[in-house]
Amino acid sequence: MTYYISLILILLFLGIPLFAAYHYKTGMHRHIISAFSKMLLRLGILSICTYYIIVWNNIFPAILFTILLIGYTAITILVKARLKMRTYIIPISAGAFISVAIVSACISPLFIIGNNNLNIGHLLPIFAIVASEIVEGLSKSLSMYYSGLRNHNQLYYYLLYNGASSSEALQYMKRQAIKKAFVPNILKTASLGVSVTPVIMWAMTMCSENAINAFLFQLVFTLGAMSGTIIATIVSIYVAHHYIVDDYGKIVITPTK
Amino acid sequence: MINAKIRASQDTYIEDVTFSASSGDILAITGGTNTSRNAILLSILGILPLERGCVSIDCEPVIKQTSAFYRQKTAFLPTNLDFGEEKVEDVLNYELNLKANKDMKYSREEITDELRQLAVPAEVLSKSFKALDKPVTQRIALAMAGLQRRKILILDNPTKYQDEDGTLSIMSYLCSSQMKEIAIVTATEDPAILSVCNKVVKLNN
Repeated sequence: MTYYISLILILLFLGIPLFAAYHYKTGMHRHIISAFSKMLLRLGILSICTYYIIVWNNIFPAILFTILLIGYTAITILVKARLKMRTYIIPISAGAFISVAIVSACISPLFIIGNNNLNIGHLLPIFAIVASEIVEGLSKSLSMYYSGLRNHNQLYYYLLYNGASSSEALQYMKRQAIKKAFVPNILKTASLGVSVTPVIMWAMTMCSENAINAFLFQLVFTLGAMSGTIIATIVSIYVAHHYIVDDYGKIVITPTK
Repeated sequence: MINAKIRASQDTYIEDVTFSASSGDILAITGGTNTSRNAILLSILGILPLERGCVSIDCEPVIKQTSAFYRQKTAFLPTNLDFGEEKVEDVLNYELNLKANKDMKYSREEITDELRQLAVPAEVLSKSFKALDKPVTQRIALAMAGLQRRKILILDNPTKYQDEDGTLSIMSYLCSSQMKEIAIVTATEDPAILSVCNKVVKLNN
């Protein structure tokens, strides 16, 4: 009941910014409504799925939900990176899947050891957090990688014509992509606690968890997100290799939608 | 290259191109258009397949399956050298650390000496290509191609961006003693470069 009271209060409070947007003729109403609807839809679906997975406590719906979540993550990355859906859905899904699997496997012991009442539903937040954390870094790095190949490929051809294999000639672009994948994570890590809220830590503290445990959880998730992004970038680039270079080493990408 | 027919562009074909070059030769491909001369060079590298005829290096055909191997025996200077923000020494490292160059050892002195021969100061190594003008970039790329000490050196318009001094330094570089064991194939219209070539293949316009 208390949750609904808080929700009603915050909806009333939302009236102030909405009034401000109307009063100052910002023209933001459509954006606000669109963002609000998207959030409601996503959170609604997510919470319904999580509810049933916890109720059923069965591994198969949990796996199915995880695959759907990763598929959705891959599509979000493709849209943000402006890449062609049909060509890049497999490499990006592979990158997202492998990184989520590896990072989640590393994080899972925290749940298993720390919670005796563990059920399948408790693993879902890990997949969901890791998947959402990799979106920004991976989309930025892949966007840079493919637009670089399309628009700044003269060094690639120079190296190829001078005896490099196509994989060797792409090394410099891979280096740039990995650097790009690091950037949002470094920024986030450096500002965590000040301009970026450590949501996990505060949420756990609010739920009466030990502050040290909450801090460790936050630390593990932050580092997991960084390594997940880099792993996803490397795997996606590796898997996509034969889609972008033909038998003669010529770049054949058509990345924009 | 024997009796080659090459598709240079959508509706342009070059036919009956035949030439050979051995070590010490400087062979110029001249006449025709930039596209057609470039197409011949790419065919030697096995990047552009022939419609007819054959290309061979050391009496072995350069075909799709073998082209990557033969590119390890050739060094190439392209016309387009927009390497963006990359630093000169980084690009040099990419190139000199290729598997194709794994048997070569390069000292800093060798690199600066190669640059000096082409009138390029050693300070450029720490600069990005974006900060350099086209003539210097072209001479750096030529030095990088020469440093690899490959048996065949293929040059596409090596003096396209050069002034008189730049052209002179390139001519002197191509005629230097270190090039005596190398076969040089160049696409050019520059009379200065043509004057140092001992073989000329003239394409019809």
